Amino acid sequence: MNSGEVQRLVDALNACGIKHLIVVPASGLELLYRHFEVHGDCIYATREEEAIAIAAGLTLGGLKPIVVMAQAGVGNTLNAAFTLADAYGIYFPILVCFRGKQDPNIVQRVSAEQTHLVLDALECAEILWDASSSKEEFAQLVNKQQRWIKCSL
Amino acid sequence: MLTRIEALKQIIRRVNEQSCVISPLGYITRDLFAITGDLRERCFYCMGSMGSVIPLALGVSLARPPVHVLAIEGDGSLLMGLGALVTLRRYSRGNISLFVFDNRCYESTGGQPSQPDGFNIEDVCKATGFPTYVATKMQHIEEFFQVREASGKQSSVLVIKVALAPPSGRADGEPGEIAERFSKWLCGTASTMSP
Repeated sequence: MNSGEVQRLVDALNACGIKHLIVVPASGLELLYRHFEVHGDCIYATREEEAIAIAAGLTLGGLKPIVVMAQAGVGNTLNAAFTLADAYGIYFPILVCFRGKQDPNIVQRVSAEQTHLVLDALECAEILWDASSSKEEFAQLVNKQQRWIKCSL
Repeated sequence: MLTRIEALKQIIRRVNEQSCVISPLGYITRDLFAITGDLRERCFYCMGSMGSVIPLALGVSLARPPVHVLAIEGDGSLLMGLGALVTLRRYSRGNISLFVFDNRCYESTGGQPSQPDGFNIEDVCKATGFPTYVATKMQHIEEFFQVREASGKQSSVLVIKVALAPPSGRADGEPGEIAERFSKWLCGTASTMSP
């Protein structure tokens, strides 16, 4: 994501009152992490399912977190997402960032192709972050408790 | 050696208006559910998501710093998410006590071994830098609470060596109700406490 797109994402999170970012670092989002380290709370998890559980705990405690991860982490999340977040009705958004099907790393291309299929099955929404309307689009998805949202890095 | 339910009862005796309990899937949640009928609002009973108790407890503790979170894990479940110990070490504000019920096996799936001979789960906890104690008797559990009170607010670990034992009946709580009740308590009563 370029700096303008990251800024739209930050603006969208701020507008929704999301001040807690739970991440397993993905390339291309350094500006986002830096923003939350300074202006909110950025928690680095060691694994994606751990990020899901931390976000669930924060939500139970009345806060509004978001989990951000690379596409390669989606598979790691599913047990926690299904049997903790979904089963107990604990809502927070999960933003999945794709490196693209043209990624120079061949295994990431395979991951991107397969993970798209998984997210389609989960009825994942998509935001491009390339327009000012992205902020309102994100707010609408959060209001209707859309769990999975994807974007491109 | 202690039984699982004996150890749980000893821990539950220490639950007060400033503390909550989070338990892992399997026999521990079944036993905890059986003995906490009067503490439902302060208990989060995991019935899935193996290995998630520590990060879940971390999230709760960060959201509600005045609350003392009693996080209960099994040794097998802890091994599924060992990285969470490191995350806990990094972000804990001191209001979590971790109890690891160590029976050295996956009891609910038939008793398959969870650790090699000569391996001690408490060594892993110690290596992450937490004050770590081992309980083989009831009095060790009480002493753990006394040490915490004497040393001030500090997250620490108690590994409790437990024997195999038949479980209580399945927890029959509806997950959505468990979460809603627990969250309501955290955001209501717990939010009015002094740190």
